[in-house]
Amino acid sequence: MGLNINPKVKKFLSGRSDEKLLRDICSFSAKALKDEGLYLIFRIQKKRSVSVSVVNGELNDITANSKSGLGVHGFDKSGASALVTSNTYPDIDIEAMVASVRKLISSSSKFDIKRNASIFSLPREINIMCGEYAHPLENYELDRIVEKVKTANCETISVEKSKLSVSTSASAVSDEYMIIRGDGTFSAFTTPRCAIFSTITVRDNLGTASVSAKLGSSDLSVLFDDKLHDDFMSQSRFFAEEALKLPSAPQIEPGKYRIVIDYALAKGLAHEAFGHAAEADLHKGSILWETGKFIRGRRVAAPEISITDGPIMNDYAWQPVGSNGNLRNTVEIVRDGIVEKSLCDVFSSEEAGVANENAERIESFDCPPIPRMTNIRLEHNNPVSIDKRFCDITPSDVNGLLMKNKLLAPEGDTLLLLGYRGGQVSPATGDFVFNCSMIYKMRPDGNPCINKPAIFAGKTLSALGSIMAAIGPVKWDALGTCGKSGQGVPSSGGSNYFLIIDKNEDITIG
Amino acid sequence: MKGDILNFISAFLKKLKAHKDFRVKNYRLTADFVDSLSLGQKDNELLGPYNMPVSSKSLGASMYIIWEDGMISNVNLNYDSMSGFASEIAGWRSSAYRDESAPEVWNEDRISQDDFSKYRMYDPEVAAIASGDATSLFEGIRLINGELTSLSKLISVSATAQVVRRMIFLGPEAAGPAFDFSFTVSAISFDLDNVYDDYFIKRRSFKEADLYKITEKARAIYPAFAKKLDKSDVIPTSGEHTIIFTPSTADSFVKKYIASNLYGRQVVEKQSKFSLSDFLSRESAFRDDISIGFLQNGDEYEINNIPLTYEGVYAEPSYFVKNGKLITPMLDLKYARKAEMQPNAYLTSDMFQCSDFSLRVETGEYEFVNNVIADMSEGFIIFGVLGLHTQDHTSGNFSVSSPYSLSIKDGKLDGLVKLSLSGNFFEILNHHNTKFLNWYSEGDSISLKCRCS
Repeated sequence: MGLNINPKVKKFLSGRSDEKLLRDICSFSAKALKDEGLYLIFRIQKKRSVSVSVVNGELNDITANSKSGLGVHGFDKSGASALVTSNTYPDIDIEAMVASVRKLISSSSKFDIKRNASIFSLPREINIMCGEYAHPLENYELDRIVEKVKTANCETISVEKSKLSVSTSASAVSDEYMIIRGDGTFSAFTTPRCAIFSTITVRDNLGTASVSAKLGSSDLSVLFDDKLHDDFMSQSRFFAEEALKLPSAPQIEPGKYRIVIDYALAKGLAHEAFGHAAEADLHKGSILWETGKFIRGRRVAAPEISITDGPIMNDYAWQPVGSNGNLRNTVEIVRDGIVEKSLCDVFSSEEAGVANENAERIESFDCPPIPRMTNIRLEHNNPVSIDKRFCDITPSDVNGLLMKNKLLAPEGDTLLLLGYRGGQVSPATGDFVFNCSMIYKMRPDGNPCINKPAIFAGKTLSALGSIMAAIGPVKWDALGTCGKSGQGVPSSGGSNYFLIIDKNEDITIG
Repeated sequence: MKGDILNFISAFLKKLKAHKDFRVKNYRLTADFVDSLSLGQKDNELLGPYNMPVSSKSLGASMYIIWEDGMISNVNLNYDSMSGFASEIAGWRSSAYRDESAPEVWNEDRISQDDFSKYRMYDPEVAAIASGDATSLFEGIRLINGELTSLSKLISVSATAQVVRRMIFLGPEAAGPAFDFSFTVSAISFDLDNVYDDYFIKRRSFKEADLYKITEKARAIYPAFAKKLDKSDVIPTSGEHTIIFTPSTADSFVKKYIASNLYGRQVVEKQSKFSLSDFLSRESAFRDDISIGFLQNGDEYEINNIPLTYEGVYAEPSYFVKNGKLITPMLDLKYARKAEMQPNAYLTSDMFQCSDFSLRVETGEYEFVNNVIADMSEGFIIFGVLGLHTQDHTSGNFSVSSPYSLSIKDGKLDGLVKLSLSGNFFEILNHHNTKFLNWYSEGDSISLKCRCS
């Protein structure tokens, strides 16, 4: 099959072991569109990863993984679609897979199905993105990674060897994607990522408690960039020291409080409670959908607050190109407190009445793309300044800053919540629940008192509307794995070091 | 892929054995070839760009290698890495590590290939759907819509069929797989207005009667969701109240607080509520009428019906807790060796190719949930909680929110209220008031008292 391939693509393909197959795919998809109006998107993924786990100073496991495959996503002219996938790439039968796509579209067309032909309007793009990193995986022998993880584990457990049990694991992933469409679009990008994670369990005669520390990056910076790795180690030591106090710590009386949350909890709030509602496929029935449309122009927070999502180079969740192949935009979901944009893909923008931002992602080649976040940050543009790194700030420092800036609650207690343990939200009602690792009661004498963790629950819009101040610059490296629709993709984000949320009837601790 | 999967893997292993760098003492290769079909409806719209039919074929394998020098490698392979293994061996070797606790490859002799026929785990109807015939999935969605349209503004449904062929190869001298068996998964789930959900999942295809069972339940319960109650009227002050967990809520609590503390790694590495010595001394940790185990049902096509663990160990039905006493942690080969105990049914989603396996809690008698509700003067049914996965399982403490709780008043469903629930799950489980009920099956639901606010 003959086809004029873009010179940039030709150069990229040249010399690859699967060059011929990829050229065939380019030709096949173009011909299917021209001859029968069948719009095909081919997604090819090659993923490699290695994970290392150390438990209480001993190497527990090293696992190497590889995964590759191809998804063929097809649309007929009416917008009926199907996805057929195989992980036997490059040993595939393109024609047979496309025949399966046709068969599924044909059989489903007998029913009254939702059709969406917007893909035909997506502009053609060539995006070949090669990131350059200071600490790429290929520069490091496995032994050095193991040594680093072991050292991190031993240093953490040495805080109190007799009472602590520590598991430390690191994983490094290289995820390469190519997206080929019938309109001539060709996109290729690699999203490397690395994370280190420690679970710290304390057991004494008063009980048990478990906390965790984690940090990530695109390349192996989180292991081999001294400053970044020190961030992780400071976090680990701090959590290990504080975990020792938890079994005997008092429980917070459930109630309403003025609260201070760290940037990782704020990322949870932005991601779980607000970001998902801003994803266009979840608009309907969400808190951002009223009278049949997206609530663009509505004030949801103070004018100092903005919420932005988009890929950041060398971030754990970096993904510069949407999974349909076009360049992803950075989206100001909330600007100066007002809802502006939604995280749309080409299929959802018309219905939501907002622009397409190419905000779709997939876990792997065998999943359908859905709108979702990459790195979401909630920013206050006039924070209280602080000249320390986040990892050097103690609860006493926060207590002092609150006193100095008259931010302690005039009545009742002010609580500092540290360490994001995950959360969940009901998109229909905006009810959210987050958990933290520990809570400090701020005190007028400047000596905060540690308490056991408790849930932070409330209503999303009430929480956003109650953000009254912030401390420090924006830090956006709080990482996680988002599990929307059963697909796990890396996510990250953050906020100013700390956000202060005023007491509100809709927000409860405990 | 062109050609038969068994031939492909056998040819790979033959070539691997002959390769000069593959100098091994022993290995185990567990390979899954999965064929699946899924589709759905979101907010009343059938299929569409996010719920289109997805047909997948995949081959995945995990290989545990004991090299000649005793070093260990764990590698997860796919078709590409098996095809190009010659360039991969160096990588496998470079990721090898020394592990004094590394187990030998397990040769299971308590069960054989011939015994597999008694496991109701494969339904050819499901296999036919998985291979591309979507008709019955559409019919299932249509039935659910027909039954529930009058109740709900927005109905979402997902349906899937999957067939897995699992082959376990043991050692370089084996002529073929030591075990080779297939199992299926059939699932359909729905939610109403994003607030009420239910599902069917088994190893056989769903029948109309299965779907009527869950839609009838929804028809009986969901209308009460329309009446929103003011919490201050229902519980003016926070305090202890009787609540009933739906089967999925009960399962979430059991997995979070019981299973997480029974896994061998957590126990041996001191990251569990229970220590290894607690098991060795058969410590009483639960009420003496409570037993907790991995059970299978020969008459039904339950997800639990699998003969072997992912490591090829006989998944013998057994109790981890019997009459309140700790018997054994859930032990994979490595932690069985570390604990100096026998490996047993080490339950993971890898083993079942889904996470809907269950740990059964037995108490001996199970009242029907409808009778319990009818006898209650006041209480709540908890339809899911938010934040359970964020809780610390080692302490047993929970503090979660339930946006969808139904208030029960004088034996009748009254209306919807949002609650916060807190307590210690172990203390509650051991309380004499806590009962295991029969919602869809014996023991799948729990009634208990906890702090509600």
